[in-house]
Amino acid sequence: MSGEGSSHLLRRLLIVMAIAFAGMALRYAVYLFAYRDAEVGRYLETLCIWGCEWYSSIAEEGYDLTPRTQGYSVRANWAFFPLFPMSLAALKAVSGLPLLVTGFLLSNAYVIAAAVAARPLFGDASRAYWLFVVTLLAGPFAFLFSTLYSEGLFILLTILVLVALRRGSYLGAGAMAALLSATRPTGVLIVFAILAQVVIDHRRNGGSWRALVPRIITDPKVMVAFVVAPLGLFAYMAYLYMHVGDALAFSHIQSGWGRALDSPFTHLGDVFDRELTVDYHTMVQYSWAWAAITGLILSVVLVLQRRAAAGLFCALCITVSLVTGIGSMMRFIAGLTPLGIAVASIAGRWRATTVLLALLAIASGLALTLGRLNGSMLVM
Amino acid sequence: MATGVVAVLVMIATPRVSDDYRAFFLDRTTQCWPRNASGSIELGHEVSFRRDDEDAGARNVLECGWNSPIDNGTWSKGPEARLKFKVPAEGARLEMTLRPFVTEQHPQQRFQIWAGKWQLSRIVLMDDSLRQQSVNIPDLAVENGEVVLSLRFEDSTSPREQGLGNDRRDYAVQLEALTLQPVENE
Repeated sequence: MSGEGSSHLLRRLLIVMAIAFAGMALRYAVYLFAYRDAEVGRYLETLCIWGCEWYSSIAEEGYDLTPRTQGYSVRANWAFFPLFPMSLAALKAVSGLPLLVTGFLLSNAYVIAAAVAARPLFGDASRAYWLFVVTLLAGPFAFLFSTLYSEGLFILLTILVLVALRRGSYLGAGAMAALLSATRPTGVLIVFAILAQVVIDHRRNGGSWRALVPRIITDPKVMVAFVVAPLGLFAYMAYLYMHVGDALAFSHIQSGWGRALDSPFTHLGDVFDRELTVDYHTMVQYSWAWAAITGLILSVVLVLQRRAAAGLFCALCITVSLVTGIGSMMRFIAGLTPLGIAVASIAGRWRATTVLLALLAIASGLALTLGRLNGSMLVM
Repeated sequence: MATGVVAVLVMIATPRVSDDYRAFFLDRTTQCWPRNASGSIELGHEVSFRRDDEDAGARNVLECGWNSPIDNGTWSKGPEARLKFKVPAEGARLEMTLRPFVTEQHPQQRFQIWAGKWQLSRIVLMDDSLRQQSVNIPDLAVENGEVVLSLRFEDSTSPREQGLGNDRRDYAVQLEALTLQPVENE
């Protein structure tokens, strides 16, 4: 890399870090305002609810041998994929820091790296890029990167796959996809994004539909990418088979969270068919349902923006998640960073909309942080 | 790649799990996963299964197959529910206050009460009012001072199936209260 490239990268890193620190400071200020308590440890503990507790259990004790009863539900930590808690445990072992502090540092490091790495996905649209960075690091879901959740890692790896595909590096995309498939259950769906990009590249280079399959199977880099991409998932399945006796334990245990297989339309219909009442649980369910619909619309927007691989990945992730219910849909949408790229790319065309969206994102970030500190289910 | 895919398919097709795990997670023939409840309740003392009374003893006996308590009791979940009791060696008598899930199209709830290999009773409930039901727990059913009663529902159904909303969970009976009476109180 030339010296000029290095200085650009360093400048970008420093600005991204400054935005990240500003976001962290704002969210901590919300805690100070709400709790009148300056204890950082208690701040991190208050943020660590829902899935954070499960990731903690994996990092500290490993995966469950048998399910546990939580109240009247039957659950185990198998539903939470291993790459993030493994990296958490490794950093904790090396640093000796408490788990929540380790998670805070690691999650933020992942998302800062994601913000830096995403620049090539915006081409010449510098304003859109910086709007994306602000919404990612100080926006409505940024509090997830201050606690033990896999979203930061999932976002980083998604961006690395998309950047590799943009550069025509199928091997690089396959390698990152392997890690992505070990991060969340839907991570393996990135293999369809790789396939979509292979098709697009083939057609862009003048290839015919008839020549597509021969082109794929005779290109060793493409074939290796497809072989490598699901390895993270396969490795986890092999581990569960040896540890628990059930390679699909991560899927079977989903029933403990009330998830059941059915058509996405049925799950959405279950929400909209019920009477709209102004009670907390109904509002949360409606929010989740609308988050899914908005995500699907933005997936189409991505395709129209000539980001078809990313759009396909997002649509598949949302649809597959909807097959088992709408629970946690807001958090799933938060992890699909190409959707944020789509929005930033539109709003970033004009200075006024850029400023407006940035301010809205920061304001909603503060509001959702406060909600989280009070145990809000909206982004559980 | 083919080898890897075959290996994964073989693992999926050949789970090595316990009978409880297989029935609960794979075959889905039960929604009963044992909680290892203590079974400890005071003999002759009524235990309520309403939400506000949850800590008064209900948790000690609800072994599996039950939903979370609500205002007027605790509904069963799925085709089987279990209650666990610490019982004197000579046995006991269980008195339950139950309400069945019935509709015009689904007018009865039939269920059997088993203790291990012993069928203790078969009950038929026909309307949705609260009913008192009693069952004797013989000494033969008591093992190591404990008995696990299995309520096996022949007619559990969901509100969705009955056209009463979107709730897909299978219900059979709602338990409002129970009392475990010692044998000498008969």
